[in-house]
Amino acid sequence: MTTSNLGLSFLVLTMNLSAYSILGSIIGNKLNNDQIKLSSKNAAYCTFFTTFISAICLVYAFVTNDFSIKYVFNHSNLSMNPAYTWVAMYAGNEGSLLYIALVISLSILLVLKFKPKDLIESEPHLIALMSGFLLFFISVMVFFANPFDTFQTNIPSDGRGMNPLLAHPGMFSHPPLLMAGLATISVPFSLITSMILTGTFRNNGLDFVRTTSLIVWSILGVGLLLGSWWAYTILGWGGYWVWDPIENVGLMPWLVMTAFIHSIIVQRRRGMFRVWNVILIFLAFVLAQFGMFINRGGPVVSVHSFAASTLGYIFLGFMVFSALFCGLIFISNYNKIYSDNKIESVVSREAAFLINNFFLLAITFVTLWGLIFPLINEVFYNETVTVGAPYYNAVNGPVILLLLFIMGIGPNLSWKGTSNSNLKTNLLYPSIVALLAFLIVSIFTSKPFMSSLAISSIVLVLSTILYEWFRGSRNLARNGTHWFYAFFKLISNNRKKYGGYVVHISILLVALGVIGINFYQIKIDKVVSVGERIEIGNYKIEIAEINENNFNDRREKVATFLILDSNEKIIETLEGNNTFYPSFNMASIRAAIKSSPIEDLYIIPSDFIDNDKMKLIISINPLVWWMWLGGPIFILGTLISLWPRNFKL
Amino acid sequence: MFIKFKFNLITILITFAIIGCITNVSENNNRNYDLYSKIMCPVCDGQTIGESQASISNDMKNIIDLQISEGKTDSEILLYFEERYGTEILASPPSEGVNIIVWIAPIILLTSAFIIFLSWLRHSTKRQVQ
Repeated sequence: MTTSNLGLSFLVLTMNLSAYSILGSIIGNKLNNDQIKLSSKNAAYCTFFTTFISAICLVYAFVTNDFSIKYVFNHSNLSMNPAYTWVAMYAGNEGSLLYIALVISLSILLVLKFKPKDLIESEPHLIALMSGFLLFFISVMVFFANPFDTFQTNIPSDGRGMNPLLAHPGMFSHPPLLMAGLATISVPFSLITSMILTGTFRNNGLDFVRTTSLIVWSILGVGLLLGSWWAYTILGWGGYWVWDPIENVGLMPWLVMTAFIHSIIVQRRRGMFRVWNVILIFLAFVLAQFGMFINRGGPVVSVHSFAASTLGYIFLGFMVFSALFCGLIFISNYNKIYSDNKIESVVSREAAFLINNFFLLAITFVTLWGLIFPLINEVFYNETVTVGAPYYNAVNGPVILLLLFIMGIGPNLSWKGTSNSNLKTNLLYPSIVALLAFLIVSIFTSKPFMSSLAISSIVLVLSTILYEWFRGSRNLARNGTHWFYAFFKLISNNRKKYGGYVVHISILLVALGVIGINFYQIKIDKVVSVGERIEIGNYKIEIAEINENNFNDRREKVATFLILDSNEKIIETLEGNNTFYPSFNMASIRAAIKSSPIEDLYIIPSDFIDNDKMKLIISINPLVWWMWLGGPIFILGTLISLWPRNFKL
Repeated sequence: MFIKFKFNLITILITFAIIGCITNVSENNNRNYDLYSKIMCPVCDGQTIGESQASISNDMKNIIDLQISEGKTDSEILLYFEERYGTEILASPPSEGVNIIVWIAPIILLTSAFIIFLSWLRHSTKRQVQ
């Protein structure tokens, strides 16, 4: 039996298993037969192992260069760095569908394993929903996009190779995390839908919903940030973020999920916002399906459409189906979802959460509007337009700024309502510090007003958080405890809250990087020869040498740069490369970056003119370093928030 | 009193933010780079000419450099390309004609939504107090 046969057989097996578990849980639930229910649950468990075998087959085919499989032929070749053969599985449409199916089946396994006991009533519905989602992806593969399709005759001896832009260390982390994040939005979605359908949408299951949502949301967040880092290190994707359609469809579900993980807190604490939370999770799920559609054959052009296929209409159909399904569930169960508790004060934490939700959805809307406007324009006015970065920066910029601002105020408000004196204690000093920051930045830099406003917002949020930590630790340290210990005790006493603060700090760090690069970047481009020197900022750059390496599938030109400080001392040697892939007629250009907390020196060898002459794009990008530090801090904050309650430090 | 003060603060912030956007969408120190990022590469998918390595992009960058040295304004340069390649060559549509909708719609919608949202919030809290 060949690898391809084995892989396909297990795909078909998975398809039958998930179909069986859907039918089994529906019938078992109708007849109230525990044995049928258990059987369908076991079938759902099994889907992970069968999908896993299919995935192993595909990876094995890649690692052993089995070019009889068309998908391997199209996305791998002999001269490719062997490390990439392990991950080339998700370099195209069919294989990435298999990867997504693997993630979904794993999420089914984990959810069923770790689900709390009080969710037992909704279990059959949950299994049916999650298996249904898995069944969709498996069926698409079996009927339309078989990753194990083979050449019957003329088996090629070498493949076409992976898209050159994907040959980057980021390939190991960004695509799998982003796809996993988008696919597993189905977990909180299925949990809530199954609870609604069985009339058990109460507060006791919400802890588990919150945990899964936080995990999904942080996977997606880290995936987005890694994508940003990847785009930053090469030329061609417009820098760290360019509001490209494919980037936007990953961002929108994340924004809605961010709104969701905030407002679910209110439901847990105060029993409010139930309707709103259902709307949010439905919206996040439909937007994730929208992303799938745009990614796999949507009607928009993008710089990174690696999974593009002719299957757009299938995913469009699935998205429409999801939207109708959500609408139907919502309307027919509205009475079960509705909650009576009302907001008591505008200056309460509940209200702040709502305002935060408003701004997050506003950014989502602006992004969606920019994405679909060219389509509307084309249909109604028959005119092609591009809606790109200038639009998003101009319209989303101020909303993001307001969101930052509310991030400073919100956590200082109390539930139900806040007294003025309370607000004054919490916000007086931070506001003064923020105002000072505003004045200092406005006076000492000649930059736009927006940049001073943005920096002072960051200072406001940071100082409110630090000030609260300071007061909290001081109170705990009153009875003689060491300050350091008091601080850790403070955090561990309320992990959910303080983990949230740590995540807020990571968002501030990302914002700092964005401000640095958008308002304070210096950029020049120049044609230079080997031995020549360029000055930028406090740096002198000398082009030491250009080396050329030839491979079967690519010509690699590596430029070595010596970086000197103002005293002519060499501080670092950097390499940037420009690799041309003739079979793709495409160049992959990697920047040389000297990174420090203050600024990045960023050199792109954009074009080689002669053997010893090239065109460089050189920039100084202040504060970008902090954006990447935001990633680990973000993970740390999520972990603190998720750390189990009965686990004491 | 404090509530009122806070709402005023938000209003002021919004006003400033909008003014800030209108007066300097991005005030980079390099005019030519700003322009490179406002014009799409005609033969690439979703890339501006600043990013693209296609030879036509390099030609277009040279034209921009030349026109800047001739003292043309940004809008003149953008118009030059728009006349030759159509509106889609611009990274964002100009705020005129039907394309003004792309800019105006979100601003109007969000502002009105925010006003409705705030009044709903205040209304529902007032009802609670009574």
